[in-house]
Amino acid sequence: MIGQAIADGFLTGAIIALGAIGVSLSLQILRFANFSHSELLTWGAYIAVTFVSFATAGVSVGPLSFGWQLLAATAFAAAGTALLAILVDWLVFGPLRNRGANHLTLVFASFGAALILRNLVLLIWGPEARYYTNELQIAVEVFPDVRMLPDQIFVLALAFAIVLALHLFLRFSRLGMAMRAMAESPALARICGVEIGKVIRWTWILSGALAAMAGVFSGLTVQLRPEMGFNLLLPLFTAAILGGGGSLIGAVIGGLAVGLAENLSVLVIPAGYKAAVPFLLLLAVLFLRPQGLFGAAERS
Amino acid sequence: MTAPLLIARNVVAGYVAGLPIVHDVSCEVSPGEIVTIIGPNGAGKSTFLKAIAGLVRFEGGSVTHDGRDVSGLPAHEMVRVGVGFVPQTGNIFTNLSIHENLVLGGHTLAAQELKRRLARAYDVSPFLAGRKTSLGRVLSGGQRQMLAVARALMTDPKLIMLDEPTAGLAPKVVDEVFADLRRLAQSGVAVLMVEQNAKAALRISDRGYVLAEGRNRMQGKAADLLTDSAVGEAFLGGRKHAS
Repeated sequence: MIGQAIADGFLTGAIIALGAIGVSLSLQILRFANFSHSELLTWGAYIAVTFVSFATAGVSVGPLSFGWQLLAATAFAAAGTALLAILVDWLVFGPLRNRGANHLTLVFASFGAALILRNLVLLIWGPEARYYTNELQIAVEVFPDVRMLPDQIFVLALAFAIVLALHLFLRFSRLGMAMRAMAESPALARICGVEIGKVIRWTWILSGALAAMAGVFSGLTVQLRPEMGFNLLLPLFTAAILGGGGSLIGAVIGGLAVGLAENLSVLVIPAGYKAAVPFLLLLAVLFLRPQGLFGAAERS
Repeated sequence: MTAPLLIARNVVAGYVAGLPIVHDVSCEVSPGEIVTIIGPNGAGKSTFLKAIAGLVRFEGGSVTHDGRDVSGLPAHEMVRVGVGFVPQTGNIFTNLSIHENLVLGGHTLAAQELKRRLARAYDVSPFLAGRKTSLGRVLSGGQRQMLAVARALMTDPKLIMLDEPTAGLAPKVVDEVFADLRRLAQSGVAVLMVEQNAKAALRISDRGYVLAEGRNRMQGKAADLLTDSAVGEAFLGGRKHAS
Protein backbone atom coordinates (compact mmCIF):
# COMPACT_ATOMS: atom_id res chain seq x y z
CA MET A 1 0.00 0.00 0.00
CA ILE A 2 2.68 2.46 1.00
CA GLY A 3 4.89 1.34 -1.88
CA GLN A 4 2.06 2.02 -4.33
CA ALA A 5 1.47 5.47 -2.81
CA ILE A 6 5.17 6.28 -3.20
CA ALA A 7 5.17 5.15 -6.84
CA ASP A 8 2.05 7.24 -7.55
CA GLY A 9 3.62 10.10 -5.66
CA PHE A 10 6.73 10.02 -7.83
CA LEU A 11 4.58 10.09 -10.97
CA THR A 12 2.43 13.02 -9.81
CA GLY A 13 5.56 14.65 -8.45
CA ALA A 14 7.45 14.36 -11.74
CA ILE A 15 4.60 16.05 -13.60
CA ILE A 16 4.33 18.81 -10.98
CA ALA A 17 8.11 19.26 -11.10
CA LEU A 18 8.10 19.89 -14.87
CA GLY A 19 5.48 22.59 -14.36
CA ALA A 20 7.14 24.01 -11.26
CA ILE A 21 10.43 24.55 -13.10
CA GLY A 22 8.63 27.08 -15.30
CA VAL A 23 7.12 28.84 -12.28
CA SER A 24 10.55 28.89 -10.70
CA LEU A 25 12.22 30.28 -13.85
CA SER A 26 9.76 33.16 -14.03
CA LEU A 27 10.10 33.85 -10.31
CA GLN A 28 13.86 34.03 -10.68
CA ILE A 29 14.50 35.53 -14.08
CA LEU A 30 11.32 37.50 -14.81
CA ARG A 31 10.84 38.28 -11.13
CA PHE A 32 7.14 37.72 -10.76
CA ALA A 33 4.76 34.92 -9.77
CA ASN A 34 3.12 33.93 -13.04
CA PHE A 35 -0.33 32.61 -12.20
CA SER A 36 -1.07 31.98 -15.86
CA HIS A 37 1.71 29.39 -16.04
CA SER A 38 -0.66 26.53 -15.20
CA GLU A 39 -2.79 27.42 -18.23
CA LEU A 40 0.22 26.70 -20.42
CA LEU A 41 -0.04 23.08 -19.20
CA THR A 42 -3.65 22.96 -20.38
CA TRP A 43 -2.76 24.51 -23.72
CA GLY A 44 0.10 22.09 -24.25
CA ALA A 45 -2.15 19.13 -23.52
CA TYR A 46 -4.86 20.36 -25.91
CA ILE A 47 -2.46 21.30 -28.72
CA ALA A 48 -1.15 17.72 -28.50
CA VAL A 49 -4.64 16.20 -28.55
CA THR A 50 -5.43 18.22 -31.67
CA PHE A 51 -2.27 17.00 -33.33
CA VAL A 52 -3.10 13.41 -32.38
CA SER A 53 -6.62 13.71 -33.79
CA PHE A 54 -5.17 14.71 -37.17
CA ALA A 55 -2.45 12.09 -37.13
CA THR A 56 -5.06 9.43 -36.33
CA ALA A 57 -4.54 5.97 -34.97
CA GLY A 58 -0.82 5.68 -34.63
CA VAL A 59 0.26 2.17 -33.94
CA SER A 60 1.12 1.79 -30.29
CA VAL A 61 4.71 1.02 -29.48
CA GLY A 62 5.43 -2.01 -27.32
CA PRO A 63 3.38 -2.03 -24.13
CA LEU A 64 2.57 1.69 -24.36
CA SER A 65 -0.96 2.86 -25.12
CA PHE A 66 0.27 5.33 -27.72
CA GLY A 67 2.49 5.44 -30.74
CA TRP A 68 5.17 7.70 -32.10
CA GLN A 69 2.50 10.16 -33.11
CA LEU A 70 1.98 11.18 -29.49
CA LEU A 71 5.69 11.85 -29.12
CA ALA A 72 5.56 13.97 -32.26
CA ALA A 73 2.45 15.63 -30.83
CA THR A 74 4.31 16.38 -27.59
CA ALA A 75 7.15 18.01 -29.50
CA PHE A 76 4.63 19.98 -31.56
CA ALA A 77 2.79 21.02 -28.38
CA ALA A 78 6.05 22.07 -26.73
CA ALA A 79 6.87 24.32 -29.68
CA GLY A 80 3.31 25.67 -29.88
CA THR A 81 3.11 26.39 -26.15
CA ALA A 82 6.52 28.08 -26.20
CA LEU A 83 5.22 30.34 -28.98
CA LEU A 84 2.04 30.99 -27.00
CA ALA A 85 4.11 31.95 -23.94
CA ILE A 86 6.15 34.39 -26.05
CA LEU A 87 2.94 35.79 -27.55
CA VAL A 88 1.43 36.40 -24.08
CA ASP A 89 4.67 38.08 -23.00
CA TRP A 90 4.62 40.25 -26.10
CA LEU A 91 0.98 41.25 -25.56
CA VAL A 92 0.79 41.48 -21.77
CA PHE A 93 3.95 41.25 -19.69
CA GLY A 94 6.42 42.91 -22.09
CA PRO A 95 4.52 46.22 -22.38
CA LEU A 96 4.09 46.30 -18.58
CA ARG A 97 7.80 45.62 -18.03
CA ASN A 98 8.75 48.41 -20.43
CA ARG A 99 6.60 50.79 -18.43
CA GLY A 100 8.50 49.80 -15.31
CA ALA A 101 5.47 48.13 -13.72
CA ASN A 102 6.18 46.58 -10.33
CA HIS A 103 5.96 42.85 -9.80
CA LEU A 104 2.51 43.00 -8.19
CA THR A 105 1.08 44.54 -11.36
CA LEU A 106 2.59 41.67 -13.33
CA VAL A 107 1.05 39.17 -10.91
CA PHE A 108 -2.42 40.66 -11.39
CA ALA A 109 -1.91 40.77 -15.13
CA SER A 110 -1.04 37.07 -14.98
CA PHE A 111 -4.41 36.37 -13.30
CA GLY A 112 -6.09 38.11 -16.22
CA ALA A 113 -4.02 36.23 -18.76
CA ALA A 114 -4.89 32.97 -16.97
CA LEU A 115 -8.64 33.65 -17.21
CA ILE A 116 -8.43 34.45 -20.90
CA LEU A 117 -6.25 31.44 -21.70
CA ARG A 118 -8.47 29.04 -19.73
CA ASN A 119 -11.67 30.25 -21.34
CA LEU A 120 -10.11 30.15 -24.79
CA VAL A 121 -9.50 26.44 -24.23
CA LEU A 122 -13.16 26.04 -23.29
CA LEU A 123 -14.20 28.01 -26.37
CA ILE A 124 -11.99 26.11 -28.81
CA TRP A 125 -12.10 22.55 -27.48
CA GLY A 126 -15.31 22.47 -25.39
CA PRO A 127 -15.92 21.37 -21.80
CA GLU A 128 -15.96 17.58 -22.14
CA ALA A 129 -13.09 15.37 -21.08
CA ARG A 130 -10.74 14.09 -23.77
CA TYR A 131 -8.24 11.29 -24.01
CA TYR A 132 -5.16 10.74 -26.13
CA THR A 133 -6.02 7.11 -26.68
CA ASN A 134 -8.75 4.66 -25.83
CA GLU A 135 -6.40 1.73 -25.48
CA LEU A 136 -6.67 -0.19 -22.27
CA GLN A 137 -3.49 -0.91 -20.44
CA ILE A 138 -2.59 -3.55 -17.95
CA ALA A 139 -0.50 -2.42 -15.01
CA VAL A 140 2.76 -4.27 -14.50
CA GLU A 141 4.28 -5.09 -11.18
CA VAL A 142 7.50 -3.07 -10.98
CA PHE A 143 8.23 -3.90 -7.34
CA PRO A 144 6.40 -6.32 -5.09
CA ASP A 145 2.90 -4.85 -4.59
CA VAL A 146 3.70 -1.77 -6.67
CA ARG A 147 1.87 -1.64 -10.01
CA MET A 148 2.34 0.96 -12.68
CA LEU A 149 1.05 1.36 -16.20
CA PRO A 150 3.71 1.20 -18.90
CA ASP A 151 2.69 4.76 -19.85
CA GLN A 152 3.41 5.93 -16.33
CA ILE A 153 6.85 4.36 -16.28
CA PHE A 154 7.56 6.00 -19.64
CA VAL A 155 6.43 9.40 -18.34
CA LEU A 156 8.57 9.07 -15.24
CA ALA A 157 11.67 8.16 -17.24
CA LEU A 158 11.14 10.90 -19.79
CA ALA A 159 10.53 13.52 -17.09
CA PHE A 160 13.79 12.51 -15.44
CA ALA A 161 15.66 12.78 -18.75
CA ILE A 162 14.19 16.22 -19.44
CA VAL A 163 15.20 17.53 -16.01
CA LEU A 164 18.72 16.16 -16.48
CA ALA A 165 19.03 17.80 -19.90
CA LEU A 166 17.80 21.11 -18.54
CA HIS A 167 20.21 20.92 -15.64
CA LEU A 168 23.14 20.38 -18.02
CA PHE A 169 21.92 23.22 -20.21
CA LEU A 170 21.69 25.71 -17.33
CA ARG A 171 24.96 24.54 -15.84
CA PHE A 172 27.23 24.44 -18.84
CA SER A 173 25.85 26.31 -21.86
CA ARG A 174 26.66 29.98 -22.22
CA LEU A 175 22.97 30.82 -22.61
CA GLY A 176 22.18 28.86 -19.46
CA MET A 177 24.90 30.73 -17.63
CA ALA A 178 23.50 34.03 -18.88
CA MET A 179 20.08 32.99 -17.55
CA ARG A 180 21.54 32.24 -14.11
CA ALA A 181 23.47 35.52 -14.24
CA MET A 182 20.32 37.47 -15.02
CA ALA A 183 18.50 35.72 -12.20
CA GLU A 184 21.04 37.15 -9.79
CA SER A 185 21.67 40.60 -11.25
CA PRO A 186 20.09 41.89 -14.48
CA ALA A 187 22.27 45.02 -14.33
CA LEU A 188 25.55 43.13 -14.08
CA ALA A 189 24.39 40.70 -16.78
CA ARG A 190 23.76 43.65 -19.10
CA ILE A 191 27.18 45.10 -18.29
CA CYS A 192 28.65 41.76 -19.40
CA GLY A 193 26.87 42.13 -22.73
CA VAL A 194 23.93 39.81 -22.08
CA GLU A 195 20.90 40.83 -24.09
CA ILE A 196 18.04 40.82 -21.62
CA GLY A 197 15.38 40.44 -24.32
CA LYS A 198 16.99 37.26 -25.59
CA VAL A 199 17.20 35.75 -22.09
CA ILE A 200 13.55 36.61 -21.47
CA ARG A 201 12.53 34.94 -24.74
CA TRP A 202 14.45 31.79 -23.87
CA THR A 203 12.95 31.73 -20.40
CA TRP A 204 9.47 31.66 -21.95
CA ILE A 205 10.49 29.06 -24.51
CA LEU A 206 11.82 26.74 -21.80
CA SER A 207 8.96 27.21 -19.36
CA GLY A 208 6.37 26.94 -22.14
CA ALA A 209 7.89 23.75 -23.53
CA LEU A 210 8.19 22.16 -20.08
CA ALA A 211 4.62 23.17 -19.23
CA ALA A 212 3.38 21.53 -22.44
CA MET A 213 5.17 18.29 -21.56
CA ALA A 214 3.73 18.36 -18.05
CA GLY A 215 0.31 18.93 -19.58
CA VAL A 216 0.61 16.03 -22.02
CA PHE A 217 1.94 13.71 -19.30
CA SER A 218 -0.86 14.73 -16.98
CA GLY A 219 -3.41 14.19 -19.76
CA LEU A 220 -1.90 10.84 -20.57
CA THR A 221 -2.05 9.52 -17.02
CA VAL A 222 -5.46 11.05 -16.17
CA GLN A 223 -7.52 12.89 -18.78
CA LEU A 224 -7.75 16.26 -20.49
CA ARG A 225 -10.09 18.88 -19.05
CA PRO A 226 -10.07 22.66 -19.57
CA GLU A 227 -9.47 23.13 -15.83
CA MET A 228 -6.65 20.57 -15.60
CA GLY A 229 -3.97 23.25 -15.42
CA PHE A 230 -5.90 25.38 -12.97
CA ASN A 231 -6.21 22.35 -10.66
CA LEU A 232 -2.42 22.03 -10.70
CA LEU A 233 -1.82 25.71 -9.92
CA LEU A 234 -1.48 25.30 -6.17
CA PRO A 235 0.77 22.20 -6.36
CA LEU A 236 3.00 24.02 -8.89
CA PHE A 237 3.47 27.05 -6.67
CA THR A 238 3.92 24.93 -3.56
CA ALA A 239 6.65 22.98 -5.33
CA ALA A 240 8.39 26.11 -6.60
CA ILE A 241 8.25 27.83 -3.21
CA LEU A 242 9.18 24.68 -1.31
CA GLY A 243 12.21 24.33 -3.56
CA GLY A 244 13.33 27.86 -2.84
CA GLY A 245 11.68 29.84 -5.64
CA GLY A 246 14.89 29.67 -7.54
CA SER A 247 16.93 26.62 -8.16
CA LEU A 248 16.02 24.02 -10.74
CA ILE A 249 16.87 21.14 -8.45
CA GLY A 250 14.81 22.83 -5.74
CA ALA A 251 11.74 22.93 -7.98
CA VAL A 252 12.20 19.25 -8.88
CA ILE A 253 12.56 18.13 -5.27
CA GLY A 254 9.67 20.42 -4.35
CA GLY A 255 7.53 18.79 -7.05
CA LEU A 256 8.38 15.30 -5.85
CA ALA A 257 7.68 16.32 -2.24
CA VAL A 258 4.25 17.66 -3.17
CA GLY A 259 3.42 14.57 -5.24
CA LEU A 260 4.51 12.22 -2.47
CA ALA A 261 2.69 14.22 0.22
CA GLU A 262 -0.55 14.16 -1.81
CA ASN A 263 -0.41 10.44 -2.42
CA LEU A 264 0.82 9.40 1.01
CA SER A 265 -1.84 11.52 2.69
CA VAL A 266 -4.61 9.25 1.40
CA LEU A 267 -3.24 6.54 3.66
CA VAL A 268 -4.33 8.59 6.67
CA ILE A 269 -7.02 11.00 5.48
CA PRO A 270 -10.02 10.52 3.13
CA ALA A 271 -9.02 10.79 -0.54
CA GLY A 272 -11.40 13.73 -0.98
CA TYR A 273 -9.06 15.92 1.05
CA LYS A 274 -6.04 15.11 -1.08
CA ALA A 275 -6.28 18.41 -2.93
CA ALA A 276 -5.84 20.31 0.34
CA VAL A 277 -2.44 18.77 1.02
CA PRO A 278 -0.38 21.11 -1.19
CA PHE A 279 -2.17 24.02 0.44
CA LEU A 280 -1.23 22.85 3.93
CA LEU A 281 2.30 22.17 2.76
CA LEU A 282 2.51 25.68 1.31
CA LEU A 283 1.34 27.18 4.61
CA ALA A 284 3.85 25.09 6.52
CA VAL A 285 6.70 26.20 4.26
CA LEU A 286 5.75 29.85 4.48
CA PHE A 287 5.61 29.63 8.26
CA LEU A 288 8.67 27.54 8.89
CA ARG A 289 11.07 28.16 6.06
CA PRO A 290 9.89 30.95 3.75
CA GLN A 291 13.12 30.88 1.74
CA GLY A 292 12.35 27.27 0.74
CA LEU A 293 14.35 24.13 1.30
CA PHE A 294 17.22 25.19 -0.94
CA GLY A 295 16.86 28.96 -0.99
CA ALA A 296 19.51 31.10 0.62
CA ALA A 297 18.27 33.22 3.52
CA GLU A 298 17.35 36.83 2.72
CA ARG A 299 19.93 38.45 0.53
CA SER A 300 20.91 41.99 1.31
CA MET B 1 49.00 64.39 -25.19
CA THR B 2 46.96 61.86 -27.12
CA ALA B 3 43.44 62.65 -28.25
CA PRO B 4 40.77 61.83 -25.66
CA LEU B 5 39.23 58.36 -25.93
CA LEU B 6 36.06 59.25 -24.10
CA ILE B 7 34.42 62.62 -24.49
CA ALA B 8 31.25 63.28 -22.50
CA ARG B 9 29.55 66.63 -23.13
CA ASN B 10 26.77 68.17 -21.03
CA VAL B 11 25.33 64.81 -20.00
CA VAL B 12 21.84 64.84 -18.47
CA ALA B 13 20.70 61.55 -16.91
CA GLY B 14 18.70 59.98 -14.10
CA TYR B 15 16.42 57.16 -13.05
CA VAL B 16 13.02 58.74 -13.67
CA ALA B 17 12.01 60.57 -16.83
CA GLY B 18 12.10 64.32 -16.31
CA LEU B 19 13.88 64.08 -12.93
CA PRO B 20 17.57 64.02 -13.82
CA ILE B 21 20.22 63.53 -11.14
CA VAL B 22 23.07 64.42 -13.47
CA HIS B 23 22.19 67.87 -14.85
CA ASP B 24 25.16 68.92 -16.90
CA VAL B 25 28.40 66.99 -16.62
CA SER B 26 31.28 66.94 -19.08
CA CYS B 27 34.45 64.92 -18.88
CA GLU B 28 37.27 63.54 -21.00
CA VAL B 29 39.56 60.56 -20.56
CA SER B 30 42.60 59.76 -22.70
CA PRO B 31 44.23 56.37 -23.25
CA GLY B 32 46.62 55.48 -20.45
CA GLU B 33 45.20 58.11 -18.15
CA ILE B 34 43.54 57.70 -14.75
CA VAL B 35 40.76 60.18 -14.14
CA THR B 36 38.96 60.36 -10.81
CA ILE B 37 35.61 61.97 -10.14
CA ILE B 38 35.10 63.18 -6.58
CA GLY B 39 32.35 65.09 -4.88
CA PRO B 40 29.90 64.95 -1.98
CA ASN B 41 27.24 62.27 -1.60
CA GLY B 42 24.40 62.79 -4.02
CA ALA B 43 26.52 64.75 -6.48
CA GLY B 44 25.56 62.31 -9.24
CA LYS B 45 28.99 60.71 -9.61
CA SER B 46 27.75 57.12 -9.79
CA THR B 47 24.78 58.08 -11.93
CA PHE B 48 27.16 59.76 -14.38
CA LEU B 49 29.17 56.53 -14.77
CA LYS B 50 25.94 54.54 -15.13
CA ALA B 51 24.75 56.98 -17.78
CA ILE B 52 27.86 56.33 -19.86
CA ALA B 53 27.49 52.57 -19.24
CA GLY B 54 23.91 52.64 -20.50
CA LEU B 55 22.31 51.60 -17.22
CA VAL B 56 20.17 54.69 -16.52
CA ARG B 57 18.01 57.04 -18.60
CA PHE B 58 20.17 59.16 -20.86
CA GLU B 59 18.25 62.40 -21.33
CA GLY B 60 20.65 64.78 -22.98
CA GLY B 61 24.17 65.66 -24.00
CA SER B 62 26.52 63.40 -25.88
CA VAL B 63 29.13 60.73 -25.31
CA THR B 64 31.69 59.72 -27.89
CA HIS B 65 34.07 56.82 -27.40
CA ASP B 66 36.96 56.25 -29.78
CA GLY B 67 35.36 58.70 -32.21
CA ARG B 68 32.01 56.96 -32.22
CA ASP B 69 28.80 58.46 -30.85
CA VAL B 70 27.68 56.15 -28.07
CA SER B 71 25.19 58.47 -26.35
CA GLY B 72 22.47 56.48 -24.63
CA LEU B 73 23.63 53.14 -26.06
CA PRO B 74 22.18 50.26 -23.99
CA ALA B 75 24.53 48.53 -21.53
CA HIS B 76 24.91 45.28 -23.49
CA GLU B 77 26.14 47.30 -26.51
CA MET B 78 28.66 49.35 -24.53
CA VAL B 79 30.80 46.31 -23.75
CA ARG B 80 30.98 45.54 -27.48
CA VAL B 81 32.16 49.10 -28.13
CA GLY B 82 35.06 48.62 -25.70
CA VAL B 83 33.84 50.07 -22.43
CA GLY B 84 34.14 47.96 -19.28
CA PHE B 85 32.25 48.84 -16.12
CA VAL B 86 32.78 47.66 -12.54
CA PRO B 87 29.80 48.76 -10.44
CA GLN B 88 30.11 49.45 -6.73
CA THR B 89 27.59 47.01 -5.33
CA GLY B 90 26.90 43.67 -6.93
CA ASN B 91 30.15 43.78 -8.89
CA ILE B 92 30.31 39.98 -9.24
CA PHE B 93 27.77 37.14 -9.50
CA THR B 94 27.83 35.65 -6.01
CA ASN B 95 25.83 32.54 -6.97
CA LEU B 96 28.19 31.73 -9.81
CA SER B 97 31.68 30.29 -9.62
CA ILE B 98 34.79 32.32 -10.31
CA HIS B 99 35.12 30.56 -13.65
CA GLU B 100 31.51 31.30 -14.58
CA ASN B 101 31.99 34.95 -13.62
CA LEU B 102 34.90 35.18 -16.05
CA VAL B 103 33.00 33.34 -18.78
CA LEU B 104 30.21 35.91 -18.42
CA GLY B 105 32.79 38.67 -18.58
CA GLY B 106 33.62 37.26 -22.01
CA HIS B 107 29.97 36.74 -22.96
CA THR B 108 30.40 38.72 -26.18
CA LEU B 109 33.46 36.73 -27.33
CA ALA B 110 33.54 33.79 -29.73
CA ALA B 111 34.29 30.42 -28.10
CA GLN B 112 37.93 30.24 -29.24
CA GLU B 113 38.72 33.78 -28.16
CA LEU B 114 36.97 33.19 -24.82
CA LYS B 115 39.22 30.21 -24.17
CA ARG B 116 42.36 32.27 -24.86
CA ARG B 117 41.26 35.14 -22.62
CA LEU B 118 40.32 32.75 -19.80
CA ALA B 119 43.80 31.25 -19.94
CA ARG B 120 45.27 34.74 -19.87
CA ALA B 121 43.15 35.78 -16.87
CA TYR B 122 44.30 32.71 -14.95
CA ASP B 123 47.90 33.42 -15.93
CA VAL B 124 47.68 36.92 -14.55
CA SER B 125 46.00 35.83 -11.34
CA PRO B 126 47.13 32.56 -9.77
CA PHE B 127 44.58 33.24 -7.02
CA LEU B 128 41.66 33.03 -9.44
CA ALA B 129 43.25 30.05 -11.18
CA GLY B 130 43.44 28.19 -7.90
CA ARG B 131 39.78 28.72 -7.03
CA LYS B 132 37.94 28.36 -10.33
CA THR B 133 35.02 26.47 -8.84
CA SER B 134 34.59 28.57 -5.70
CA LEU B 135 31.33 30.49 -5.60
CA GLY B 136 31.59 34.27 -5.72
CA ARG B 137 29.84 34.60 -2.39
CA VAL B 138 32.73 33.08 -0.42
CA LEU B 139 35.19 35.75 -1.59
CA SER B 140 36.28 38.67 0.59
CA GLY B 141 35.73 42.27 -0.49
CA GLY B 142 39.21 42.61 -1.96
CA GLN B 143 38.98 39.28 -3.77
CA ARG B 144 35.59 40.30 -5.20
CA GLN B 145 37.09 43.52 -6.51
CA MET B 146 39.94 41.56 -8.08
CA LEU B 147 37.47 39.19 -9.76
CA ALA B 148 35.28 42.11 -10.86
CA VAL B 149 38.20 43.82 -12.57
CA ALA B 150 39.37 40.56 -14.15
CA ARG B 151 35.81 40.01 -15.38
CA ALA B 152 35.66 43.49 -16.93
CA LEU B 153 39.07 42.99 -18.60
CA MET B 154 37.96 39.79 -20.37
CA THR B 155 36.85 41.83 -23.39
CA ASP B 156 40.04 43.97 -23.53
CA PRO B 157 38.18 47.27 -23.03
CA LYS B 158 39.86 50.49 -24.07
CA LEU B 159 38.14 52.27 -21.21
CA ILE B 160 37.36 50.82 -17.82
CA MET B 161 35.04 52.63 -15.44
CA LEU B 162 34.99 51.79 -11.74
CA ASP B 163 32.44 52.92 -9.19
CA GLU B 164 34.14 53.26 -5.79
CA PRO B 165 36.56 50.37 -6.31
CA THR B 166 37.95 50.64 -2.76
CA ALA B 167 34.70 51.05 -0.80
CA GLY B 168 34.78 48.87 2.31
CA LEU B 169 38.29 47.51 1.70
CA ALA B 170 41.11 47.33 4.24
CA PRO B 171 43.83 50.02 3.77
CA LYS B 172 46.39 47.48 2.57
CA VAL B 173 43.96 46.12 -0.02
CA VAL B 174 43.11 49.66 -1.12
CA ASP B 175 46.80 50.18 -1.98
CA GLU B 176 46.83 46.93 -3.97
CA VAL B 177 43.73 47.90 -5.96
CA PHE B 178 45.19 51.32 -6.76
CA ALA B 179 48.52 49.77 -7.77
CA ASP B 180 46.65 47.42 -10.10
CA LEU B 181 44.81 50.36 -11.67
CA ARG B 182 48.08 52.20 -12.17
CA ARG B 183 49.53 49.17 -13.98
CA LEU B 184 46.38 48.94 -16.08
CA ALA B 185 46.72 52.58 -17.15
CA GLN B 186 50.39 52.03 -17.98
CA SER B 187 49.32 49.32 -20.40
CA GLY B 188 47.31 51.97 -22.27
CA VAL B 189 43.83 51.47 -20.87
CA ALA B 190 41.87 54.59 -19.97
CA VAL B 191 40.62 54.47 -16.38
CA LEU B 192 37.69 56.53 -15.13
CA MET B 193 36.67 56.08 -11.52
CA VAL B 194 34.45 57.54 -8.86
CA GLU B 195 35.93 57.54 -5.37
CA GLN B 196 34.94 58.52 -1.85
CA ASN B 197 38.51 57.82 -0.84
CA ALA B 198 39.38 61.05 -2.64
CA LYS B 199 42.90 61.77 -1.42
CA ALA B 200 44.30 58.33 -2.10
CA ALA B 201 42.54 58.16 -5.45
CA LEU B 202 43.82 61.55 -6.59
CA ARG B 203 47.37 60.56 -5.62
CA ILE B 204 47.40 57.83 -8.26
CA SER B 205 45.36 59.81 -10.79
CA ASP B 206 46.45 62.06 -13.61
CA ARG B 207 43.45 64.33 -13.52
CA GLY B 208 40.31 64.82 -11.48
CA TYR B 209 36.84 66.31 -11.67
CA VAL B 210 34.82 67.64 -8.77
CA LEU B 211 31.07 67.28 -9.13
CA ALA B 212 28.39 68.83 -6.96
CA GLU B 213 24.63 68.74 -7.40
CA GLY B 214 24.89 67.00 -10.73
CA ARG B 215 27.20 69.60 -12.31
CA ASN B 216 30.92 70.09 -12.90
CA ARG B 217 32.33 72.20 -10.09
CA MET B 218 36.07 72.02 -10.71
CA GLN B 219 38.58 70.10 -12.73
CA GLY B 220 42.29 69.93 -13.15
CA LYS B 221 45.45 67.95 -12.65
CA ALA B 222 45.12 65.57 -9.74
CA ALA B 223 48.15 67.11 -8.02
CA ASP B 224 46.60 70.59 -8.24
CA LEU B 225 43.27 69.40 -6.85
CA LEU B 226 45.07 67.77 -3.95
CA THR B 227 46.65 71.08 -2.94
CA ASP B 228 43.66 73.29 -3.74
CA SER B 229 42.40 74.69 -0.47
CA ALA B 230 38.73 74.92 -1.55
CA VAL B 231 38.72 71.27 -2.67
CA GLY B 232 40.59 70.24 0.45
CA GLU B 233 38.14 71.81 2.80
CA ALA B 234 35.05 70.52 1.06
CA PHE B 235 36.04 67.07 -0.14
CA LEU B 236 39.36 65.86 1.11
CA GLY B 237 38.62 65.27 4.74
CA GLY B 238 38.19 68.81 6.07
CA ARG B 239 34.62 67.82 6.75
CA LYS B 240 32.86 64.53 6.16
CA HIS B 241 30.03 65.93 4.07
CA ALA B 242 29.88 69.12 2.14
CA SER B 243 26.66 71.00 2.65
